[in-house]
Amino acid sequence: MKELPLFPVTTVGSWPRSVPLLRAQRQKQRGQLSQPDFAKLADAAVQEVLRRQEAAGVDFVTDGEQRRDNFYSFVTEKLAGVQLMTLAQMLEVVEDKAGFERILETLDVPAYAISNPTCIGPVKRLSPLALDEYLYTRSQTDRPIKVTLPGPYLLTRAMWVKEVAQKVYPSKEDLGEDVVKILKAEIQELIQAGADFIQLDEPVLTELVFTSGQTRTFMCAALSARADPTEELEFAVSLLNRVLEGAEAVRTGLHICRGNWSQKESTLLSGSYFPLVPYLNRINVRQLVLEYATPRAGELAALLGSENIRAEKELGLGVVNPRTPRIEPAETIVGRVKEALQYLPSRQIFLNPDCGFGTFSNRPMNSDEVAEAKLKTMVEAAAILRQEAAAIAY
Amino acid sequence: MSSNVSGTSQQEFKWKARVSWLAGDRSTAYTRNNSFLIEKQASFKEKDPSPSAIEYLLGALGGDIAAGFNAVAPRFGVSIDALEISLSGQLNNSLALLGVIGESGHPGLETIEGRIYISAEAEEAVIEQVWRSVQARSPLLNTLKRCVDLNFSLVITM
Repeated sequence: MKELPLFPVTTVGSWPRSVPLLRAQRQKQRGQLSQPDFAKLADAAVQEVLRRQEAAGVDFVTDGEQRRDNFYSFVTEKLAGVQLMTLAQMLEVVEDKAGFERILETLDVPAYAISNPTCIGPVKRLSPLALDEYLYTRSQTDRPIKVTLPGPYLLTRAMWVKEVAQKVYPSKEDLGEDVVKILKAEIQELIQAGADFIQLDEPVLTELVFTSGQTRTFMCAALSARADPTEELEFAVSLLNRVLEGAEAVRTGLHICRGNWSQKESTLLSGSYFPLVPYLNRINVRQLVLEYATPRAGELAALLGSENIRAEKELGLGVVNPRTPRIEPAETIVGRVKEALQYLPSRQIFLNPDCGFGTFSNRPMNSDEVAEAKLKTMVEAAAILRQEAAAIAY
Repeated sequence: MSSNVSGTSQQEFKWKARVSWLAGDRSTAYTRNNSFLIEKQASFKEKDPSPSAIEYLLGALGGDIAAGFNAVAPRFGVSIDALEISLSGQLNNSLALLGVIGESGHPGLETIEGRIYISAEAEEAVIEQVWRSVQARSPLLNTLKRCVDLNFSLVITM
């Protein structure tokens, strides 16, 4: 990979899908459209997303997760022993139906619109999760590529619908063993294929620390909550570190946010990363891809007060909110980065949005145009910062 | 005109339910060849084992709307992929229901709010037309709107 500029600009992964692509995805799920026919449409969509990122001047591009229905349930068709269940179907099997209702109300979504990959048998990899996506993207761009994967804790929590999974795995921990094997193999194949950046998505981690005693918000976390978040966080650290073993050759990232399902900020989680710091310190990942564009994320000091994080991690600094139509001025972004520069050297800071622009394919947070404009303002900010850095060096 | 029950025209048809008190707050309703358990007038506890009368009313309203979409949509050439109705109702004064002395107001439903989530391969304007037609022919909507503040919104999803 060629040398990166300072303050590389990237995305968190997803990009809004076009209406024809969404229709095609639905038809594929219903068996009315073949995989090759879907792939043709998705290939064209990926090309368009790449074109937009390149036009904006993004340094690390993604395929916009155009082939996925959401950031984690897409694994279903690539794994044996996993079935996609809508929440409407899950309502039939879960005991705490009233709890589910509270979540749906908070999210303002119908139960049919959210699908969960649910473990129904021994989980094994039938085909690569993201390798094919990467190889296609590689064939379409010469820019460095970020590949996103659902993290092992997210997948284990999502797949573990106790009422169904316990027939196969005695415990969530046993299921986690197979999830680790699958992700580890995937990461190694991506490294072999030349992926530049592999990001693991673990949004559920924030829920563990921010929803104590409150309505839960992320679907998968509703299913098997333990009373003690500390135990869950230890479990997450252990899964992540095992998946990351042998991945030192590639830039790895861990994305943690507070939800990306609604444009109503009040329905999303709030709180600084501070309670997660003791755990983030121990996760062997190179970059923390975090949201910092809204006050809900708290102060940078809460995270960067940690000497270990300052010394060992890069920060993917969230500087634009993917859910708002307003384009953040480049000067505001520059100001935010300068705050981070009080703690970190410039080579450790990347710029990205707080989250994807289309985490759930049927619930995009913005239009293509707004998303592209947000990328451009980040690129503009990066250019200002690079100029200032060059002037200081000179 | 065809008759639903021997000797009764559709115009004269009456729907019937027989409700037998079991014990405590529990009753069973018998309707045609069906039966269902009702527990309490209104339950404030999630763990109560059966639906309460108010929840039956909300569920019935949602079922009425869903069946209405199913009946009306084909007339507009709309094929429904998925449909879900989320409802919530609020009493004028819950304390009046509990019999708290000195409370003003009444225990009747003051408002019912509903979100209708629909996924269908059709233009938004056509789906909205379907929804207007559903409202026009819904027995329960047309009953309740005369006494309760109904507030429904249509959410079209992909």
